[in-house]
Amino acid sequence: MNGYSRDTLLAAAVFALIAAGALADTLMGSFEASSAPRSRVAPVVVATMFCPPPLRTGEAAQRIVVAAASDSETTLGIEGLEARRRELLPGRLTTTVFRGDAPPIDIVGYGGRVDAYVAGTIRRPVRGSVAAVCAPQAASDWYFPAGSTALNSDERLIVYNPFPEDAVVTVTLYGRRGRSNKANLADIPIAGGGSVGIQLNDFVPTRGFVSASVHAERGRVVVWKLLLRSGDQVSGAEMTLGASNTSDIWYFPEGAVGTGTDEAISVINPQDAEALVTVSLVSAEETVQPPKLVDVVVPPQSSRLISFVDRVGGAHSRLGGVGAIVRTTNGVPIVAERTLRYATESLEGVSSEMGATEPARNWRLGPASASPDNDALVVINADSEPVTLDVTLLQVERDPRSPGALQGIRVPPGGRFKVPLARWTGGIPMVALVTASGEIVAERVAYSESDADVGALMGTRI
Amino acid sequence: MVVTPSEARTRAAKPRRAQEPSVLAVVVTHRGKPWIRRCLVALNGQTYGSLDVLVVDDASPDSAQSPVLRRIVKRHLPRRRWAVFRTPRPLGFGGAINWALSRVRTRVDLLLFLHDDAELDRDAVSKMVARLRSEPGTAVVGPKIVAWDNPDRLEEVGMAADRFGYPYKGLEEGEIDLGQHDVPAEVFYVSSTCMLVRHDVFRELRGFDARMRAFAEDLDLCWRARLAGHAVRVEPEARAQHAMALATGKRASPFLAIRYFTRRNRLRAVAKSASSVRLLGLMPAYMVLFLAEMIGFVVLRQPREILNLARALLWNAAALPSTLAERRRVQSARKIPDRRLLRYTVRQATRVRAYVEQKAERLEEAWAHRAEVFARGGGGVKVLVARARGLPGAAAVVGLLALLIGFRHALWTAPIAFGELLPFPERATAVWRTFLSSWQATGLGQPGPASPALALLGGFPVATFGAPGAAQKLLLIVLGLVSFVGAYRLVAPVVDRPARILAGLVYALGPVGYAGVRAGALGALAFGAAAPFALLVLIRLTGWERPPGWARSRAIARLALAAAISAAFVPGSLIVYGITALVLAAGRAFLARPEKVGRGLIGIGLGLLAAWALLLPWSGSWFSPGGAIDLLRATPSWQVYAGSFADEGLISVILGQVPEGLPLWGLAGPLFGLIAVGVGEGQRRRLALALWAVIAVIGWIVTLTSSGFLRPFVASPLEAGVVASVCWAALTGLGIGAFRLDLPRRGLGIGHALTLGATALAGFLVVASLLPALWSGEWGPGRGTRRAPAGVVDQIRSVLAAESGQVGQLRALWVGEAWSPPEPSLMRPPRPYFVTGSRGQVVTDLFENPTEPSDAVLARAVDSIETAATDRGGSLLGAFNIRFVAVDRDARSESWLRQRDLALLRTEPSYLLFENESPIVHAGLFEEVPGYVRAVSEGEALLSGGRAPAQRRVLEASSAREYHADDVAGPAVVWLSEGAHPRWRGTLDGVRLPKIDGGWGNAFSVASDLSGALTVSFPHRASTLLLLLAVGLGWIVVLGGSFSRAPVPDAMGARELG
Repeated sequence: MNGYSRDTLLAAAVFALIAAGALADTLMGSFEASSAPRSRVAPVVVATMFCPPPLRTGEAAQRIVVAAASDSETTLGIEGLEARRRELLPGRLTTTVFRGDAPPIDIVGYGGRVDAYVAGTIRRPVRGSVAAVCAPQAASDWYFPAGSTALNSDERLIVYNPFPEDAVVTVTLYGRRGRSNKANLADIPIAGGGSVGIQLNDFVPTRGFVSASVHAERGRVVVWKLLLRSGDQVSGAEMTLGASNTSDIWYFPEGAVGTGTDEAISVINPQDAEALVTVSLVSAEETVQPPKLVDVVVPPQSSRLISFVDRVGGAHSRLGGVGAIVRTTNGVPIVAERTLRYATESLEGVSSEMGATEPARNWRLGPASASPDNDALVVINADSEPVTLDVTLLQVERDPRSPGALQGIRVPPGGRFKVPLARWTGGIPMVALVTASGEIVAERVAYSESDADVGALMGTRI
Repeated sequence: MVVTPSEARTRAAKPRRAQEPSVLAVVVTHRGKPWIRRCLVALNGQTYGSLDVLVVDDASPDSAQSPVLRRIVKRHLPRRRWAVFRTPRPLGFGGAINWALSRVRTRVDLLLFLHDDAELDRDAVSKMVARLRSEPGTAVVGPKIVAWDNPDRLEEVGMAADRFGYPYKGLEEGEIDLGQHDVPAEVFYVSSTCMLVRHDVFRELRGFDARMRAFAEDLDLCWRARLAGHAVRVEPEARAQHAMALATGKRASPFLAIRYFTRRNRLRAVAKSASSVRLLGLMPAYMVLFLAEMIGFVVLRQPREILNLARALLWNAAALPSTLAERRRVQSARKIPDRRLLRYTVRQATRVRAYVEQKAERLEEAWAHRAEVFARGGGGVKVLVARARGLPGAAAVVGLLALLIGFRHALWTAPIAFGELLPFPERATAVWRTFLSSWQATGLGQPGPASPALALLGGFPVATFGAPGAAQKLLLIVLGLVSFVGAYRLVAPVVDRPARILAGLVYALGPVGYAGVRAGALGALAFGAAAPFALLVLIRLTGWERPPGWARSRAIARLALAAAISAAFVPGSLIVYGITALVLAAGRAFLARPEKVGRGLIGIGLGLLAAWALLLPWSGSWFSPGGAIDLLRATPSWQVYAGSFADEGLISVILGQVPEGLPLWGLAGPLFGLIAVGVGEGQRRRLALALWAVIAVIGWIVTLTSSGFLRPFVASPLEAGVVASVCWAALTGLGIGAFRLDLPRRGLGIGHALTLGATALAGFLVVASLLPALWSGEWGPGRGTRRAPAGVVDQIRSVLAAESGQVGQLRALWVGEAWSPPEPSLMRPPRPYFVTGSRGQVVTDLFENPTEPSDAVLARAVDSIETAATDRGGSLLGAFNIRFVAVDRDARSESWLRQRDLALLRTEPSYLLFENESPIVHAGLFEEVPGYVRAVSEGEALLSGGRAPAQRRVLEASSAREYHADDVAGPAVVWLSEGAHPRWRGTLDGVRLPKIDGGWGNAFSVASDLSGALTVSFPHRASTLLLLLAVGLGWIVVLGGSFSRAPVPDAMGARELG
């Protein structure tokens, strides 16, 4: 074989190699890419709940209810600028921390998560009871759709900066005509670890409906709203932790349409696009859709009050207890808050609460009142199948209790169920655990006769 | 004919005259026929009567066949009693004398040792004997030595030496003898050319050191005699002429490796005779001197001499036991201290000055020669300038401008901190210091050894006098130029200059440079710069192409050098070279004789093995946990690397997209490759086929790795495709060469049309892809990726630098993909976060081992934060002295915003910068081990203990491996925020501190009764230092071998011997 022939053979071999490789390349799949390896060791668990400062009204008392959220042994830290205490929580036990005039405190779980709630009683200038969840985290934006600076209202935004660095916040107001900023509500400094109460009535002219948002220009904060209402028909106090994010669906298990009740959904649309909001009502058996609650327009950068009294008529006007599901049909996310006023023979007062944005199977619910005479749990079944739920009560310094009557409760698909708890809680602020076979949304409601006020507290997903 | 020993004993033992001491002259000869007659005649004619002669033939090959020496001796020594001995093998001067004297029983008073090329004046022996008798303390006397062919020229009047044993004559070059040195004087030593020694002293000293064989045995003997209390003198009235036959290369000898024997024997002499205190200082200096000499020989391109020096060192290492035994004997007989010898020695500077003066004349000659060369070169420059006019000149200018424009985002920017292209530290020597340090401060700290890549990179800041930005630019420019030169030389033997230039440009601007700079892949760029040189050697060793003057040993040295440089950055490159060699060898074996190819493969194996050895001790850790190769093979890290190969394969390689190049550009490569095969002839065609085969096999490897059948041996497709990219550039050169050189020789036909069309199309593809890319400056770090732009990193680094000025040593944690290399890398192992010092990642942070135990503890802390399990991330990170956290804005940034003890310093659209409120110091004194430290290791309960622990004292850092504080008093705990390692050592006032459990770091307990200066250090290992020294010598040898030229006569070394 001469040199040229060998060259030709070599060339043929090389190109055969290439052809076979190209074929293999086409036939073989690609290896799945993997991300960088991560640690597999158990994490260090330290979780803090940020609780609001004492209610600085005329006369008020406040206590904090803490529940260990895990089965593991947890060291409870009560920390703040002035307070520092340690207690051991031997798992799923509810305890109560009384407090006086201390600045904002942080409830810290070392080794396990804890949930904390604040429940208070106000004697002056109005009588009422408040309940709110302590914040698991701080954020840059907080929204409060329902608010009022009318003459008979006193709205305060309680801003807590739990971080070491100073924060600077700006309050933005929303109404039907859009958003507005006020120079003296801009760039408000909040010292590290400190809190500031912003009394909106001092800055905003009398407005029956005003929404607000708090934006941290620098740092991260936690904001609650305290609204005291006084009047001939309804008086009481509302306290709620703001919403730190927007969503295109909001669930409100508690609610009522009928004589002596006045329910309204307040919506902020902080986006630059118009939102079309539809509110569905969830009765005991089914979900109904009043026609006037379909595609309510909320212009961009504005807020709107959707009152059921004005929009729910006909057969729907006698529904009684109903839940509400607020959706945006054009995908523009919003923030929704429910305000509920009772003026019946058995109930009076006002409550306001942010909705839940996602259903879940397991919920933990704090007390809706510091001294509940009437205590209940309201559940919406967001699943397409019937749901069975079990309720466990976390007693104070005792083993959890699971009464038989609170086990195996059935809720139809799309339906709503109210579970009375007062028989077992006996006026003590206990934490309740709800475990369901499907996706639900749970809320706690209470009525305190001594305070003549209702309270509501949305559950926390576990 | 040779006399028997018994005969010699009989002759030598005859009675002597009583009035004068008897002298036995011992003449050692080896191939000495041209000179020995004059030597013997002179001995025969001596005025001194009681003189016998013993001629020792040191196994000369010529006299073995005939009794000519005996006849010569008999004929020329009629007046003397004589004997002739012959050693069984060459023993050297001293060895031959020892051997001969052990075979005669003589009671002579004096021994006269004489070279066979030395001729004594008639009264020389008488004068020397007289001097010896007149000075009772004298044991050794030497004559004045003049040149053989010119007795007016002085060669030696006694010898001095410097502290390293280097000889010093104290004469000018060619100094005329006017009697200016005719003063009898004590000297340090006299040379063995002619040396009269008292027999009893010689016996007392046990003769010459037989292990020295040749050279410096005279220095050794005289030094020992002096230590034993005897004087050494020169008698200028006695005169000898010396031909210096061996030193001037006139005589063949088994001891012609002069520098080897001289350096070796001098070192042994110093080791035996210098006092212990002096020796301690001398040995390190000796090593430095050897290294300096080796570097000098690299410059002089005399690799053989480098080998000789290395051999000398190794011989002494092997002979250490016998040297120590000899030393014990010499020192036990010592009667005078070293200081009394100082007057006979010279300072090093004196010797160097004399050396320089002597060489001045030679330098003048050299300059004259150089001027001649320049004159010739000037002609070449003129020719080059003439050629550069017109189109080639314009093309060169345009090409240069294109390079500057295309690389503007890499060359004219602030220091790049992207991927593996990281800024240099501010101190010029910082990279070298890190390389040599036993403890690496990268990440949370890790023990050495560091990659030799740091040693290579360290040269750039030194070259720019410590300007870190300029060093980085210089690095890029050098890598680009070397790549160009490599590709140019690869095709140089088979194509003309335009084709070579195009090959070089295509490679420098092609996929490796393009993707390498964009991805900040320093490893791939360095591999890419060395690869053309390595491929050229592989081609030559496998026999595809060998130019005239090609030398196998030089080729192997070059392969070792190129492969070592590649593997210092990309260890898997050794495997790539090995596979390439096998492909080339298989192809060549098919075309030619396999046995030749086999020899080539052995050479390649040696070269690659040498490359691995040059990277020791770092390369020894490749397979250890966290080592370079281990990361590529271990689960699950290999999946990260394999994942980067997804969607790549042979087709991508053929299309020039592995590494990722300009899209249309990649299509031009195969077109040129087809032209090279189809149109090229002879060697060009065959070489093109070989390159195609290499590309095909690399394509297969990428396909198999991409599909998970093969675990990767390089970190990314970018590195896997480097050799393929070299092949494409070479094929481009070969294609152009075939078009220019082979096509015109063919008859017009379809081939012409096809070739013209293909060339035009390929050219169009290159231009069409190149021009837009040049215009938009596509050769910029970070372009085409979603990583953080350099400006962002600079912002953070400036904040860190400002803070570190106030708080001292600190660490920063960088979280998120924005800071990570876009391509998986071994130099920066894949991880979702990394730790740096106050300047952010710098070059010295490369090659972090991600499997250090401390890393697992940090991973736990970071995971706790990112899974939202904790909101006390600052406390956890404080245990690592992490004071700042830069978080890329992604889904995980929310969890960082939850951390209560991390103050939000900056909120930017692309990142968040936190300042830790709870850091502990890097190294300090505490009451107890800080709770934070134990908390990150043991659990959260300890975090409930309180806020940041108060430290009593901060330790100052002398270097990455040493911390200290003065006036420390116990009881206390010393805590050091560096990864726990048993070799960390704490001492207080000289007392070693007990180590206690310090979690992920190091802690020492200080007892209450201790006080004083505290030092915490990570000591060097002597074995590592020795290995580094040996490897350094290896680099010098390989460098010398790679750039060696034809050997030159060693006139300098020879002259120095006298």
